[in-house]
Amino acid sequence: MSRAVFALVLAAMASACGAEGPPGPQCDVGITFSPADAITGVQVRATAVVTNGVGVLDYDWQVRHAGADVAFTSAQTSSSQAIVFTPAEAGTYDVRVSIVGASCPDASSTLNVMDDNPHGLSVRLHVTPPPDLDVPPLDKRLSISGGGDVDISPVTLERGVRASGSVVSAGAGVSAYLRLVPAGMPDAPVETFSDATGAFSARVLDAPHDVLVIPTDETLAPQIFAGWNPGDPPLELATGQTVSGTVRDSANIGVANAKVQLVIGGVPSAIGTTTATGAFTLHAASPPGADVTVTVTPPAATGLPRLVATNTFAVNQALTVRYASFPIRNLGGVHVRRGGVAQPGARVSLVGEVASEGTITDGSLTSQATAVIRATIIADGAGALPPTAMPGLTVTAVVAVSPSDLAVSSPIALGTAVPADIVVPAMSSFTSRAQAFVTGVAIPGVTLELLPIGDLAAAGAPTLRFTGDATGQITGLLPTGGHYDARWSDAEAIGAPFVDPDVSAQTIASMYVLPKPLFVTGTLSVPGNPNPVPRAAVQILPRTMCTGVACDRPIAEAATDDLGTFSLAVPDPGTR
Amino acid sequence: MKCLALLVAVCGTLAPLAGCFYVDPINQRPSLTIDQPSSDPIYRADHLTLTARANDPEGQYISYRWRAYACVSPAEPADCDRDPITTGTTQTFPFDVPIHRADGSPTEAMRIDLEGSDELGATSKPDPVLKLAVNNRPPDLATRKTSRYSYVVGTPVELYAEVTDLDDGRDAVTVTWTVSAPSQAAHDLVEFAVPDPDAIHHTYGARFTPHGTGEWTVDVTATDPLGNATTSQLTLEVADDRPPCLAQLSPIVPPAGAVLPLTEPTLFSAPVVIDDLDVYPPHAGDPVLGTARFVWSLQGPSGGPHVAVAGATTNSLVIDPTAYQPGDVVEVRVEIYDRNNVTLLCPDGDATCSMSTPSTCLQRQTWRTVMR
Repeated sequence: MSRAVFALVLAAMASACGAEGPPGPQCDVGITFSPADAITGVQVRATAVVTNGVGVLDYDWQVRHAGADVAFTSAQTSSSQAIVFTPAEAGTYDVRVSIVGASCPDASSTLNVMDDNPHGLSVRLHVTPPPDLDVPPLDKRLSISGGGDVDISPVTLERGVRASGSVVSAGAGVSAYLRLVPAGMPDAPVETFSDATGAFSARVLDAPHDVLVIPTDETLAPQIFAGWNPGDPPLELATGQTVSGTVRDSANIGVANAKVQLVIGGVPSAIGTTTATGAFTLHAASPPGADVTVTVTPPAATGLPRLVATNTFAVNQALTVRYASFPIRNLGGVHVRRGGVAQPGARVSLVGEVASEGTITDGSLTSQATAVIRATIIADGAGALPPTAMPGLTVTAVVAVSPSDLAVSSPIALGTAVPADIVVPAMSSFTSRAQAFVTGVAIPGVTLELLPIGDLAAAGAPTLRFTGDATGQITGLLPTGGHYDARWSDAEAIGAPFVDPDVSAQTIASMYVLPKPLFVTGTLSVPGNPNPVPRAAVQILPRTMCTGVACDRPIAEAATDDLGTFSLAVPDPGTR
Repeated sequence: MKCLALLVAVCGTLAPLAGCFYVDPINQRPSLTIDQPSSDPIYRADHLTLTARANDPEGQYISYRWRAYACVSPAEPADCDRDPITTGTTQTFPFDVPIHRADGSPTEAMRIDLEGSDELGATSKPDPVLKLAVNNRPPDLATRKTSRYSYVVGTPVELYAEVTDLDDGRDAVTVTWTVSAPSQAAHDLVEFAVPDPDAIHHTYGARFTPHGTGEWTVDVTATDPLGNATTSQLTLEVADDRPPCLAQLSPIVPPAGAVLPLTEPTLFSAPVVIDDLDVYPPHAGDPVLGTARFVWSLQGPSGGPHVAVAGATTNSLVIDPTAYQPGDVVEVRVEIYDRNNVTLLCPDGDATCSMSTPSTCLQRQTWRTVMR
C-alpha cells in the first residue's frame, strides 16, 4: 500500500472513530401547565421540563393566542424556567420554549382555556400558614362547580425565599412599614417593618413584587417600588414631588392646622399641616396620570367637615381647597332624649356625607368635594351635649345610650337649625330562625352575625353576634333605623353560610333557609417538607360583588388539623 | 492402615498359597438428640420448631423422621392420640401445638418421636423422645387510649382493649377496668361497643372521664374461663384546661416602637385561636369543644386606658381611619378567653399578656396604629 493511500485510510478511520466516544442520551424538552384545567382570569404557570440537558440553561418563551402575543412574566427571580400569564379569553394558547445553552430541541404545547363556570361559585382560597412554618401565604382563585363535594388536594404552599433588604433615604436607613405584593398573587401580600437602620427581612414568593413603603417619618413620602426582586439593591426613597396649596373656608380665610393628605395611584402621601394662612406643603410620589384623592381634615374645633375629592390633579401645581358656604353650628345644650327622657352619658356619633360642599382645584381641573362628617360627643350628666362645633349640614346621630343599647336618629338638618333634642328611638326587637335546605329542619345553635353598614358602620358600630336556641330561633334587639348585612352560619355545617344584605330590625326575615352545603376539603403541603401543616388559617373569600373590607370577610374559614387537612362548607351552587 | 496392614499380612502370610481377600469396614449407628426448646412455658396454639442433633461415626448423611402426638400427661404412648398431628423429615421440625386432641379434649402434653438412619441404613438406637407439658394459653391483650381534648380534666378519654384467646376463643374472655385515681378524685367510666377488627380479636371500649387532675391509671384485665388473666396498665396524665393562645393575627403586629399605618378601613382579626377546649374557628360536630371568646378594646389618640368596644365579640373588628384625624395614634387590642374566663392580670399598659406557660402563648395582643 502506498503511503498516500495509507494516510487516507488512517484519516478515514480517525474521522469514523471520532474523538469523543459514543453519543450521549438525547436532550428532551416538555412543557407542563399549572393548573392544567385553566380558566379565564386565573393565572397559569408554564414550566419547561428538560431531561438530559447539559450545562447552564436559559429559556426563551413565547405565548400566543388568536394570532397575537400574550404577555407573561417570569415565575422565578432566579431562573426563566417557568413563566406565568393570565388568559383573558377562552380558547387555545400556544406556548413555545427554546432552550439556550444546550443542544435541545424547542418545545411547544397548547393549553385549552375555558370560561369561568357561570353556574359555579367563584371565590378566593386564602391560606395563611402558621408563623413557625416560615412560608409565604397563598391566595388563589377557585371555581367551585356544584353538585358534589370537592377535594382540592394538594394545596401547595410554596417555600418562597428569605428576602432581605433595606430602605434608605439620602443614604440613611429609614424605619418604615412595607407591604410586599407578589406579581400574580395580589391578595397575598406579605407585611414587614424595616428597623431604624432600614433593614428588613421577610419570607416571600420567588417572584417580582410591588413594594409599598410607608415611612414612619410622616414628612417622607411613601412610595411604591414596582418589580422588586429579593436581593435587589436598597429601596431608595425619593424626596418625591413637593405638593403645595392652600385651604380656605367659604369666606376665603385660610384654615389653620388642617391635615392634608393625598393618595396618588393608591399610594398615600406624607401628611401636610396648614399654616396660619392655610398654606400647606407635603411630599408625594406622583406617577403621572394617576388619580389623586385629596383629603383635608380641619381641626375639630373649627366645625368644618373633612373634604374629599378625586381627580387627575396636576400635583406640580398649587392645589386650592375651598369650603362651600354653610353655617357652623354649636350643639352645646342639645339634649339626647328617648321617649322624652334625657339620656345622660350617651355617646353620640354624628355621621354624614354631603356632596359638593367644597371644591378642590389645581388651577385647571376643579372637582366638587364631598364633606365627610365624623364626630363623637359624650352627653353630660343631664343628657346634654357639650359645646361642639359642627358643620351646618345634614347628619345622622348614632347614639349608644349604653354599651349594649344603640339607636339611630332620623336625619338632622343642621343646615336649617340646631334642634333642641336629638331624639333616639328605642331598640326594636326581632325574631328570626334558620332551617336547613336539605332537611327542612331548624338548625339548633345557628349563628347570626349582623355586620353594620351605612350610618352604623360610619359610626364604628361593632358586629353583633347571636346564637340560636335549640329550635334555631334567635331573638334580640337592634337599633331602630340601623342597617346590617345579616350573615348566617352553622358550625355543624348542616346548612351552608348565607348572607342577606341590608336588613334592619323591621326587615329581617322571620325565617331563613340555609342553602345546601358543599364541602371543600384539602390537605396542605410544602414541597420538600414531609411534615403536615397544622394550624394554618384557610379561608374562602368572595371574589366578586364585594368592596373594601367586605372582601376580607370569609364566607367560610377553618384551621388545618394535625394532619394538615381542612374542610369548609360553602353554598352549593347547584348544577344546571 | 490397619486394613492395609491386614491385607499385607494376609497376603504376605498366604503368598505361597493362591490369591488375597479384604473385609469392608464396619458401619456404626448414628446417635440422635433433640435440642430442647426454651424453658418458657408452652401454650396451646404455640408454634414450635425443634432441631435434631446427629452424630454419625462415619460422617454419613442422616435421614430424619419426626412424629408429633397430642397427649395428656405423662405423654406415654398410651396417653397420646393414635395418629400424629404432623410428621417431618428434615433436621428442623416446625409444628403448631394443637388446642384439642383428636377426641376434642384439651391438649395437655406433646410427645415428639425422632428416628434417624445413615446412608447405609443403620438406624439410631435408642430413638430420642421429647415430652412437653402444654399449658392453657392466657388471653392476649393490647390496650390504648385516645383523647380529643389533650387529656383535660372533665373531658372524655376513650380506652380500648383488644383481646384474643387462641385456645378458649375471644368470646370467652371477659375484660374489667380498674381505675386508680389521684387524691380520691371521682370519675365516670361507661363501656361502649366497638366493631371487631377481625374474626380473632374482640375490642372492648370504655369512655373514661376523670374529674381530677394528676396521674390516673387504669388496669385492664382480660380473663379466660380457667381464670388465666393478662393485665395491661394505661397511664393518663390529666391536666387543667390551659388558657387559649392567639395563633394567628391580621394585619401584622408592629414591633415595639413602630406603628402600623392605616390608609383605609382595615379588618383586624384573630383567624386562629388554639386551646384545649375553646378554639377558633369552631369545630363542627363536637359536643365538648366550644368557641373562644373575644374582647376588643381601643385606646384613642388622647391616651388613657383601653376601653372595650361594646358588643364587639366576634373574632374581627373594623377600624376606619376616617373616624380619626390623620396622624392620630390609636391602639387596637384583642383579648381572648376560654370557658374558664381567667382574668388577665397584666397591666393595661402591657401590649401583650400571657397567663400561661410558655409565655409565648398570648391571650392579649395590641396593634399600635397611626391613621394615614
